[in-house]
Amino acid sequence: MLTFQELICASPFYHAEIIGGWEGKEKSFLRAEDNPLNLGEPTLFIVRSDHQSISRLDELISKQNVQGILLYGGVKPYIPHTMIEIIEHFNKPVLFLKEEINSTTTKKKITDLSQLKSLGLYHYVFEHTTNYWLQLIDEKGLAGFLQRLSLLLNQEIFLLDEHFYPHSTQDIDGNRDQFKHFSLIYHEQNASNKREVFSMVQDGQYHYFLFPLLADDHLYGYFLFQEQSSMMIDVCTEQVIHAIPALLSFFKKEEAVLRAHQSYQESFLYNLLYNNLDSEQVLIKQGKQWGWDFTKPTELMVMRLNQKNEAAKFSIDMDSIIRKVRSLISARFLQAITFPMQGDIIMIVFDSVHLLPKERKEFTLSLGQQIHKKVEQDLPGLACEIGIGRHYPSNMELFRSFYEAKVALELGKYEIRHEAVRHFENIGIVRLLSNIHHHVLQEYYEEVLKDIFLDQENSAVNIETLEAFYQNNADINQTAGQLYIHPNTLRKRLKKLESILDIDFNRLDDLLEIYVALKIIKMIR
Amino acid sequence: MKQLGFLVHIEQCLGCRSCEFACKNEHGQNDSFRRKIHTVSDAFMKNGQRFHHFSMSCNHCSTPACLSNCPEMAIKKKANGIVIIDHLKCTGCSRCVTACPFDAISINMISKRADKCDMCYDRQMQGDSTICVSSCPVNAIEIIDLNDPVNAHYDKAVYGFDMKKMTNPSIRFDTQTEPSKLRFWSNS
Ligand code: SF4
Ligand code: SF4
Repeated sequence: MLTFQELICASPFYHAEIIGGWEGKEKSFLRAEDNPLNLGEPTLFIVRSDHQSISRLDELISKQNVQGILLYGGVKPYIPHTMIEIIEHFNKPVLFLKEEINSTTTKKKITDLSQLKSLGLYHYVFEHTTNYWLQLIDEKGLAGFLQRLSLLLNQEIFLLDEHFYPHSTQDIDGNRDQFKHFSLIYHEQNASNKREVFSMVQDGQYHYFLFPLLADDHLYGYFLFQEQSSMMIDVCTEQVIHAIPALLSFFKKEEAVLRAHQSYQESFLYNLLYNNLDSEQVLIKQGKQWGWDFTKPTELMVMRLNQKNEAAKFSIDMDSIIRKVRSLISARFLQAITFPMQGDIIMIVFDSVHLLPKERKEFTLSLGQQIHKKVEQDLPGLACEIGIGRHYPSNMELFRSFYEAKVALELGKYEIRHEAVRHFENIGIVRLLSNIHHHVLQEYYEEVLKDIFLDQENSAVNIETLEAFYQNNADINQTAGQLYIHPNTLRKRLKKLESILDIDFNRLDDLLEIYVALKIIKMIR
Repeated sequence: MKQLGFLVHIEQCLGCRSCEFACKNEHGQNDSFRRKIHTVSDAFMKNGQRFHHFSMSCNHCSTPACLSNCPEMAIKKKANGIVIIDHLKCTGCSRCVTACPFDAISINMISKRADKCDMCYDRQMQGDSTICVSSCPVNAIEIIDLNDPVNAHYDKAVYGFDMKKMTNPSIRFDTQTEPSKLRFWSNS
């Protein structure tokens, strides 16, 4: 005896459309028959789909031994609503197979299938269904696949992601958190046994089947559906088990497409930041593919994260920081591209055309400061620094902003007042020094401070004194405080330095000369 | 994304200038070299009695100063990290020459355009190695991908040669050599 649910797992019947009466999918039959006078035992009645046979469906379905009907050939039949109601009333499946089949071979096929089942070999049939599911998911996509599986199981089936949220293709009524508690139940019940093909989980009075969707140790999510009292558990689970490989292959393909898409996106951004795009039109056109409007002005920032405590090594979760930055920027109703590059996080923020240059700089600085504050607040172990490049009228020149943001990051640390968020325009004289060759710079500072270095014993203290003096804007009391010495001691030291270096701290030229030399020392060392 | 760069085997370079001349021939320059040999004293004998040589050209920096300073947008960095100058766009203004911290760019006296190492871009596109790599008799230069973790252990600087790090130059130094391959000259 073969049930309809089993029949629909075999070729070519898995292509059959269910017209009605699927509640009776567990009904079983011994053979197939096309002669209404030959219905001595439970039978699947097979008939060509035409007007005449459709008008006789009610009569055929009412016959005691007819367990269901298979219409075949031609175009999909139009079956009046009243007829469907009659079919549903009898609870006997009516299927339609578009394929042209020969009734003799179909009868034989069904006899063979019954025999396979009686020999306990029906799993060979189930194994072949995977090809069908692969074909179906290819043609109809994930939604078509899920719809068919739900139809065959005659109940709603939920596709959940690895965190027990409904998959984005699933149109779920109500709260998207409604399945979260299954995670807890599942992990409690399966703490020791994570490799089961499926698990039964109990939620209140109901039992559910939960199938993990696992491939190569990667968990793509879960299938979840409720156990019904009339359910033929073995057939249902076989159906799902053999549908899952098709789903996994779909996910893998999707993942590969996503990776390709990402790498295409990555190379676009790389080209943008390294002046590798042919024209503004190319930039605008390619940007549009990802919903970025490069006709708008942009600002560019580069964020660098370092561990505050060198000893406490932990890995920095760039993805979660990027998500955080994205949500901060979008909370200000701004569009931005935030992505990692060479260990830094790059932010390209689209802003308003109406901003004046000064407003634009202030706007970017304040956004940078807000991001910096939030990141350091949420991740206290990390030191966050942000460099900001200048704004350019054409987005084709974003590569200049990118370079400047990196220079601001790199050289801003030599500034006397340390700012974690630095604009290229504010980094001062080091901006000029950065373009001068090291040996020229070295010659300069050795020349200017040569007499300090001659006195090897005191050179470190003298340099420290000068640095503190400049850091405190030449304020004697503050400098003395920082160095833990008396102001008069400092005065004496400065006098001595003036005489060693043959300078006068009241002369701007001398002040500047020493200031530059100190900056160079910091830069080079 | 790749970042191709030069790996210099410090202990192997003879300072023979084969790479300099091969490069000059390949790229048809008359009066200037794209590649230069530097000589520095050894880390352990700081008094300059033992020397190393190494060959350097444009370092195809990660953050190239030349690229962002060119007013004509004539310099670009390709997907494999090579920095090249578009000679059709270059006006020979020399801004890149001053911006590069490694003296890697010069103005070609004949074409009056900026000129620098392009890591034999065309040769590499055809699957050939750069001319400097092929011409070195002792294999002291190699092209490597700096983004490949297997190359992470090479040194970013060499003792005695002050390198600006701001532009993140794509050059690495291999200072470790088997004793049999060690070459040095001593006047003591
Ligand atoms: S070495 Fe000089 S020329 Fe070469 S990429 Fe770096 S900055 Fe540009
Ligand atoms: S010399 Fe040529 S490549 Fe260099 S900055 Fe001027 S235009 Fe650009």
